[in-house]
Amino acid sequence: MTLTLTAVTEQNRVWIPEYTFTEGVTGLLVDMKRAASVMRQFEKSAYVHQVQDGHYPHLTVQETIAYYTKLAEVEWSVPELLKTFDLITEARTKVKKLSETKRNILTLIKPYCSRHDWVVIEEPFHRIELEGRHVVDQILKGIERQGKSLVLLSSNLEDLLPVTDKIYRMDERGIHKLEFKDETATQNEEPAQFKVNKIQVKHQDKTLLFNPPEVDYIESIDGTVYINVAGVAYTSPLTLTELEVRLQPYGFYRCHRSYIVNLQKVRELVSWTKNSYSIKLDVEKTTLVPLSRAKLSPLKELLGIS
Amino acid sequence: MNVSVKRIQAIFVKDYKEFYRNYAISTMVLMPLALAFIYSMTGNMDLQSLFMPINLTFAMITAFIQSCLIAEEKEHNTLRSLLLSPASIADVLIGKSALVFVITVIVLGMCMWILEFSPANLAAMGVALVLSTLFYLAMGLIVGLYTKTVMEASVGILPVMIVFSFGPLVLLFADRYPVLEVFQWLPSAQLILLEQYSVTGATSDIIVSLVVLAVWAVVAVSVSAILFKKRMSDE
Repeated sequence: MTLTLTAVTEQNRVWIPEYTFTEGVTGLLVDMKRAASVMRQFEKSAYVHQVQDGHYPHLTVQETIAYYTKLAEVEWSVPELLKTFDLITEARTKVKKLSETKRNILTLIKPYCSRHDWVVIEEPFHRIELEGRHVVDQILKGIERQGKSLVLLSSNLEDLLPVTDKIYRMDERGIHKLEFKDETATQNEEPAQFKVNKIQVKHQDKTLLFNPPEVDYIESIDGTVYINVAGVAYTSPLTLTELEVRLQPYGFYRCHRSYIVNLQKVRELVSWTKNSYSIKLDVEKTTLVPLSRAKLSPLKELLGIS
Repeated sequence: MNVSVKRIQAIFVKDYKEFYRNYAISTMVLMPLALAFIYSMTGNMDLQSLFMPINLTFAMITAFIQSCLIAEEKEHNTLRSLLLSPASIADVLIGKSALVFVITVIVLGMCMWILEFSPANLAAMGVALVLSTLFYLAMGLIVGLYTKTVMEASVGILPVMIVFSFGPLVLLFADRYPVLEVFQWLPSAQLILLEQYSVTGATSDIIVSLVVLAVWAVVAVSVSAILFKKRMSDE
């Protein structure tokens, strides 16, 4: 039994990739706009619970629960459900007088009582305070125990991690499973050597330290070395050659007599004419860094492109 | 479309509780009763004023509450999940309509009791009132479909009230403007005519009235069903 998502393309780009979900609890890390489109698709074959789904404000908590069990024609005992939802003391309170956390927990009675094999829940921990989280967890487990499969949509990884380890990320690059290394495995690695390698820069008489991956590129203008981090240029006391040696292990490359570029941030190699090239960087403002002709083929080798 | 008595019952009970605990809607019931009381105090009534509280009940109670029950679901964002729930559309509509039907019967009964009105032909009048209720239920459904909140529904019901409840009053001017004769075909005017015919015992006219009312009810119910289907597939 699977749940299939069909691809949606927008302006010749795949906006929502095709994917087939398998049984169990799946987390889907996705932005709001994509989530809305995914939910619209799933409505045909699954019960879709949305954040804005509301309540009948004048019913009491136990009346609400009784109502949804009757709609589903199941014979579950209301006191038992009150316990699962941690609402025993509020049983006779009207829904409109509940606290927000309690009210949001109560909305989960709808997916709990749904009769579909697949249940899709948008942001299961939306506006739920810390002490309510384990209740939601318990409810989700309860839904799973009924033999239903769950797809949880969230834009927040922290909300998905405690519930499942089958988490996918959906974005412009498609849908990918997130891999988690076992923590025990990483502990067995060789004892970490203390090797701090920060890049020192001067900024208004202050010395700042940057981590190498933060640096976009480094340029030398009239003998002064500028380190560019997020669109701001800082001067460095080191020379380009010294920096090149220190930064090479971090994936930096001397692409020009007066430039060093962070290869992790390379987006595109632009060729203007046969003998002139530039590197386009994947940073906020479009940035072009010159590339010497002699450095082109070693760079291509480094990047593994032909 | 499968229909389940248990689910209809659940919806009926839920809507009943939502109805009487929401005073903005439930106090509406007092309006026709108060009007009936005032009319009965003045005494010596013609049929026109006798039927005023009754026709007002249909618009202000039947159609209004029906539209509110639908608009409320939208206002509280519960309609979407209700349609995804095991309850079918038929369950939802029958549950809601049954509640409004019961409220209508009670209010009409009390109105007639206050007005001390006993129909000349009880069977014909009973059928006519049931057909009218069906018609106004459908009108309420249509208004409910196109409004998103109770506030909007209470404005949306105004045209129904003006045309159908106050329509028969226009007939008072029919002597001067013969065009206004068309208003006698309104279901509310037909109710008054039916009572007139019943008093005189004109059986064929009674049947014509009932047929007119039945046509109104059938047309309204089918139009509302079509619109409902269309709206649900749009959303």
